[in-house]
Amino acid sequence: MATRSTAEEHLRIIRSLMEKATIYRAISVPTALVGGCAGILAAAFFHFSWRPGDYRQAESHLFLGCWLTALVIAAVGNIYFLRADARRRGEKFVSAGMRAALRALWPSYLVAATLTILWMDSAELLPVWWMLLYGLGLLGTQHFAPRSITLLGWAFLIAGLLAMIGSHWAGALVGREDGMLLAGNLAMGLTFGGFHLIYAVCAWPRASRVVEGRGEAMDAGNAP
Amino acid sequence: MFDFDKLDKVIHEKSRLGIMTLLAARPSWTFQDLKAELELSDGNLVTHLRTLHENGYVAVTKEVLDRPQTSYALTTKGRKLFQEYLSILEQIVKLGRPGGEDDKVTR
Repeated sequence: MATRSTAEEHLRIIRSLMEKATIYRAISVPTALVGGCAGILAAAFFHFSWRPGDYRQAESHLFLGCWLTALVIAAVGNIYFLRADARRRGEKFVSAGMRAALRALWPSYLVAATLTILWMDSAELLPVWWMLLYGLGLLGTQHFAPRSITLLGWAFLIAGLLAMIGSHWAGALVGREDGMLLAGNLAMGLTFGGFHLIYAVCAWPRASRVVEGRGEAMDAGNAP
Repeated sequence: MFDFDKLDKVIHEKSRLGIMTLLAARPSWTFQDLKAELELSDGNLVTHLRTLHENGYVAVTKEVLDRPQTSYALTTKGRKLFQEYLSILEQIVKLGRPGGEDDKVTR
């Protein structure tokens, strides 16, 4: 016959499994901080290195160099922090959550990588595509990601759409592409730099509570 | 008096409870992911999944992508019964709290 203690034990099992299964933060909060700083630095470096009249191909390559460096820093940071987090919780690095996140992310990231390769010599539209595809990728994880990741995805998607409309109008009004990459770089700095920093600041206290009180506390945005 | 017959015997077994919980948390799980998360042997997991499937709690999808893969998901019936099971557990815990109706719980 079931007793209160059996019921409590079963509820504990359910809670702990739900926590493991439902919450997967594909971008660790410290990574967002590192990535955000790298994004701001990349944007600043390109902005101050850019000269009016630069060849389109040269400025595209400079732009790609700055932002791919920021991407590598953020990716290496993310692997490091996710691995440390998994070790602290006594879980595997490649967990079911990570596999689910990768399955959700890879289609949009594959498209982004393909577009980057194809348009590496004329990168004016890459900022818009990157913002849209990154946002869509994050939204693909919303079934198991904390609410903060979903909000970040929406922020990128909306910013990408606004940037796309803005670049369309600017192209129609001005009729030339001078400075378009500079504006795109500014949008990248605001989103990949600024949005990640805002995300890190907002999600940090909650993420710390979950780590400290594992088993007791749940991510408030995702408690089942 | 609490009626313990209300507790679903199929779900109440610990391993099956784990399976039902994971399936309730995400739309679908592959056999390998369930095995890794619950740390059950192949045989054990197959047996419990078969029980849940035969009782209509779990739907099975077999597909061949680059290799054969079996995925599991809760059926509507399974989800409903899991939620009922949860609310019964909560009632039991509530009854046992100080100021609750502990004396009425038959053991």
